[in-house]
Amino acid sequence: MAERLLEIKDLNVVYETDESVVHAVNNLNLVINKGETLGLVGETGAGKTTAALSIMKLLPDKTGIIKRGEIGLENINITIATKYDKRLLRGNVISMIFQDPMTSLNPTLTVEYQIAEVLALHKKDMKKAELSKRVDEILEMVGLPPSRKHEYPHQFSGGMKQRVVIAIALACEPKLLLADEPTTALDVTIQAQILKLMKELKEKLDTAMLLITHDLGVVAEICDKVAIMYAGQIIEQGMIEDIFESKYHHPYTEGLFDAIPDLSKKTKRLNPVEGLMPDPTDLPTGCFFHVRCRKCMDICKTKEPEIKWTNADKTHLIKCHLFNDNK
Amino acid sequence: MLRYIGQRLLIMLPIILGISFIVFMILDLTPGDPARIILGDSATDESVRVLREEMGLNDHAIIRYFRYVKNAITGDFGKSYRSGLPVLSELKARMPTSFKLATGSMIMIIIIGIPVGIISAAKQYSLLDTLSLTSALLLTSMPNFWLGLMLMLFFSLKLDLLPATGAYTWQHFILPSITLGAFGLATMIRMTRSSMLEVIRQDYIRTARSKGVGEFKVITRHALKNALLPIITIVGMNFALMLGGGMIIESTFALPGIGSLAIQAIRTKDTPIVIGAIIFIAIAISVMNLIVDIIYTFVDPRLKTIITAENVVK
Repeated sequence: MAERLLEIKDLNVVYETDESVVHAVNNLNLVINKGETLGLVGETGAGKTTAALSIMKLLPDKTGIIKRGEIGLENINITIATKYDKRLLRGNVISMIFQDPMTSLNPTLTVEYQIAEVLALHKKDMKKAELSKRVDEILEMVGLPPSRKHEYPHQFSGGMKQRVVIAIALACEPKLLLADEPTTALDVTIQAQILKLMKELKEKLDTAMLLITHDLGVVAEICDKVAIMYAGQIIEQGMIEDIFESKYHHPYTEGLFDAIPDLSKKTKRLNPVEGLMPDPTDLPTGCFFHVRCRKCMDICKTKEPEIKWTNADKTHLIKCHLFNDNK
Repeated sequence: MLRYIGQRLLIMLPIILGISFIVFMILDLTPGDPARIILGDSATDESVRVLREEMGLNDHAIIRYFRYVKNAITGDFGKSYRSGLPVLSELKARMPTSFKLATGSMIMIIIIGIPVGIISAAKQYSLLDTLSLTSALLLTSMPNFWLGLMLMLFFSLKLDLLPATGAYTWQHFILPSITLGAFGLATMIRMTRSSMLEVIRQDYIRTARSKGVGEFKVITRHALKNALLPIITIVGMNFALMLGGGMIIESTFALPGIGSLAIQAIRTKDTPIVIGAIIFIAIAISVMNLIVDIIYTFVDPRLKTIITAENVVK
């Protein structure tokens, strides 16, 4: 079996304000092995970004709190890491690519500075000339001409900016890359380029990746494993074949696939998953999905389903009463 | 860049002309005969009439205004009705004092205001934040002549540490600078704080944190430069206003600056001095605006591109 890199156990994250408590992530379990790409799929508000921010320890001060659970990185629990430790991790062992490249780069600093900074922070023995040389290499790696390194972010296009963001994230060759919807803000042709680039680079550097997205097409293209998230929980998880080819699915996953329009069929209307994500300040009892579920049974309203493996290899799991024996 | 500065200087001309016109006309409408003021109450009506004729006061106001502008272009802003000295030399004699006072205030505002504002933003809702906001509120709500008097009372009379009036040594400028800068300091603290808070919430600050940059460097290297634009504006505007606007403070501390000159001139209806002082303030503000805009381009590379691009097009 492959070596485990990241293991999240029973993670619970809440946002506490004076008025209410938002349960953003509820008993999340995830494993990412070395070099592997896991796609984390879900609607807006499913808690995908919150999960990633908890790994980075970048949850908003005071309001965002990890209530329970462990995040293990190479078997070290990093939820209890000190301020200094987490700074050593960030950018070096784990780095993150954010959704919008337009706002992710500092407008007043040159591209060179922004890339060199992360190197200077984590590779302390590098000298100035080496840093500059390394910046050139990295820029070339992400497909940007090194001659433009003295320019500022506003002089680059959106796709190029995302390349710079990727360059920053991969500069220290991290073991884990968290990509939070890296292509959502880009147009489709640039999306394909960026995805291809990310796939190449992660293979070259042997980096594991957690790809957050709501685009199943993107998932099919570059992920090894997929986890479907709903209301802060993983409701189905499996290898890419399990999700795209198996006949067993959580009703929510089926809904997601049905929602993708098929070019070969004549459809008059799009087929969405009816309803909205439950209010995270007031989650329903039983299965969180039962309100919107087309196959809802009585038991779903009262009892939380258990996680079941659907195959002998134990690669595909579903959290639904339909697959529980005691239905 | 030079071309841009040239354009801006050219635009300043109509602004200053406009201001001088408005001030000239308003002062012309106020009662009081300049000839009478110059000669004094004891002068005969006949001599007043002769002087009026001599000064061209019987001409229409518009004609007198153009005569004034024509002379002003050659550097002659008229003579003070009271002292008989040229306005320009009166202003020149007062400028160093005003400049020193404004510089003193400015240094205080920058040295105290910016760091306090930054700390306030970095530690939002902490005790330090509350403290600095409260003091900013206090500074704004205190009338500055009262603050000046209190400082004098305490530091000069009670403790005998600093001189109360006059403009002889640098110590003489400490109390007036504090008084004059109090309001600007409060504005600076609040502006720095809100500007920093806005920047701290930006995505690129999160990016910086995700790179493992320490919080101190996040604030000083990544946030501050982006938060600097409104701060520079405040510094520039305050400086220009304080150059000529320290009227009350200069009077309180008996400092011979432009402000106290203007106040004295208004009181005695010394019109040429009043207009001269106001034009001086107008020029100071326009020049400061230009300097501020130039500094912008060094802080924000995006603005530099705009200005250079503008020159390419024209």
